[in-house]
Amino acid sequence: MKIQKQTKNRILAVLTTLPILIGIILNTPLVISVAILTFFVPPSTYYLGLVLMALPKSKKEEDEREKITFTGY
Amino acid sequence: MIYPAAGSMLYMLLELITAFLFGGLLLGLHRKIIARIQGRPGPPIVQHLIHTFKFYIKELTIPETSSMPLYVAIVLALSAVWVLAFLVGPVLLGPFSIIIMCYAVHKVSEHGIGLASGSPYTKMGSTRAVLSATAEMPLIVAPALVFFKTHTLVLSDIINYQILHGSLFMDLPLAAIATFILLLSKTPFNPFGIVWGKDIVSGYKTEHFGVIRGVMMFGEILGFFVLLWCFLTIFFGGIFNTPLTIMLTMIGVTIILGFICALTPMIAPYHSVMIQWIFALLALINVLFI
Repeated sequence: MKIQKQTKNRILAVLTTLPILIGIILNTPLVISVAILTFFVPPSTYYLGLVLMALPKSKKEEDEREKITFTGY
Repeated sequence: MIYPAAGSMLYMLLELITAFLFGGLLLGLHRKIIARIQGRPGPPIVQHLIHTFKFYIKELTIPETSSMPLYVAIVLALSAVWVLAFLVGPVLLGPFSIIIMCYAVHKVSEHGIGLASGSPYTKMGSTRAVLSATAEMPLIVAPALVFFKTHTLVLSDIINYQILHGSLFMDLPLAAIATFILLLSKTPFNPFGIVWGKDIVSGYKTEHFGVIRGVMMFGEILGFFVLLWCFLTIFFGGIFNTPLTIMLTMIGVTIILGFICALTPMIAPYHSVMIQWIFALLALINVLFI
């Protein structure tokens, strides 16, 4: 089964943001915190950006997207 | 209000967000100053931040000629490098050598970003990134002189040394000037900015739009903040050692950088390298004062 691009981006956004949230909740040791922030902050901003980008900005745009299939990026 | 403990992840994340916002405002101020000197009203100071956020909701286009996943991964690497440099430097006051390594990897990332898209303009930008890497001599000379003077490259120890013995700027003024030239070379619209030269459209960034450009700008803002902070901490650590004084001095240095960028045309690639080498060699005169 092929996952839609938007669904894949949402999953990756959650997967890359989750370690940061877990780190905050569990109060991880310093070295692990540095590693998590270094590795996960850039991809989480990227995938959250991709999810934001694909959201319709207005009602008009939403209607247009319903008419023409959104083919991705 | 409970403030998170220093060293916790929430604390570091909040510091990261603050640095990103403050760095973005500094770059906005930099653009404003350039515009005012050139007789233009210029964009508002928050424009650089708005620009970054705007890219997050713009459609991402990836050229057919690009080499995926390098096209995306190398930009993420560039941002990660500056996140690490920020955490090691301003947050943890750790070893300056790690920041130097981050800087070196950043140059490699610039080269990679240029090569990944397949455009001739970005390739030219990436070639210039390699050429400009040869001009980073101040980055080697200045820390070496600081090490021989203070016998440490750990930032917290360098600050303590300066609190006891006075600012390193008084002992190593030429090394400070060479580092300032390095800082200038990382500022937008600077005379040494051959990698972003308008003669090659936008250099290595030409083909990066949408979200990926937003991530790139996030990394660049952090990079500017880290370099500015390092310059002030290493050479003026004895004077400016509270967050408020450092922030005010950062604004002051940004204004000076704005004046230089507004009044100096971009120089030819080889001259750019040569001038930075001259400043690095001049810094070596400081060996006499150690």
